[in-house]
Amino acid sequence: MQKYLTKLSFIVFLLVGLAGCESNLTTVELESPKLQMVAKGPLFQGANSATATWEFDLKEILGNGEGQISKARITSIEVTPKETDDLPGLEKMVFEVTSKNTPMTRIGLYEGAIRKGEVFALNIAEEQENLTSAFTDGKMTFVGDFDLMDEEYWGNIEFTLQVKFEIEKNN
Amino acid sequence: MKKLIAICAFMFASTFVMAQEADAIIGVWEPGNGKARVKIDNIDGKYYGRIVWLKEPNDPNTGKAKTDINNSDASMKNVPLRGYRMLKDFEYKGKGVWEEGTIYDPETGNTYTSIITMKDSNTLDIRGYVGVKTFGRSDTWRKLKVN
Repeated sequence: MQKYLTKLSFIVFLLVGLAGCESNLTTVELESPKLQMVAKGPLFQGANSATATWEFDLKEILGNGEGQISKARITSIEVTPKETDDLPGLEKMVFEVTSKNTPMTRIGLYEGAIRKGEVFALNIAEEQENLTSAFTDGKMTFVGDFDLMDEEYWGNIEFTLQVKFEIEKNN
Repeated sequence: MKKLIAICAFMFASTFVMAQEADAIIGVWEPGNGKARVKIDNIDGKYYGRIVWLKEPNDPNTGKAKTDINNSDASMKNVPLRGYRMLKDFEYKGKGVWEEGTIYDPETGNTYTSIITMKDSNTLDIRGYVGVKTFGRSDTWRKLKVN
């Protein structure tokens, strides 16, 4: 009987613990600031890369500075080519993210033409690596690979980038 | 004081030499089968390689540009192969060796752990493996001179 009671109390304790853990998980949406994503010239016809870096304070992201992020994924990527007098013909963008301890992960794809001043939203990958480590690193690098259509070579091309995340945090 | 300056100068010089050695991999390389050319770049201290040229850029069945049709994620099967980042996350470990990276084979859709060894300034030995290094496969890449 005593053995049975010990087992039962252990199971109850476990269930209460699990329920407690679950109730402490909160899902929040987070938006990066508007970042400058730059492809440094000279750029030639074909595939080229633009990069942007976001440095942040994890404590600020966590609000009260307590708890930790248990899961993170990207839900939206919006890119706008910077307004300039002349922008070469640009097409398609493959978007990847990396950090010190996060392998480069492909997150987004845009398949149309890229026109100046127009915001374009990328299709987001269904399968994503958990980006938790990128948040604990305090710095993320975003890479956008695009096609330059013109035969002429070009100087720097700049984009404005904004990324939205869905993060799950333990309080 | 002199000793401290000498130590600092030595450390600075060592770091500079190490960075120069690490960047020796930057450039355009051609795998052994000659089907593609891969440009290796440094992004935030790690090394990545993108396909910049394909011998057969179009799918002979559709006549359209080849895409990553073997990707396990259906939403990413339309990613063009030209521009594809097939070498990822390599870190320079010294003595002409880059490790901690992966190589993607677009023909199978498989990703392998990989080690790159620079045999000489124009030759790379790229080894891909799953689990144990001994049971992998190596390929020799040669550097292209870009004018």
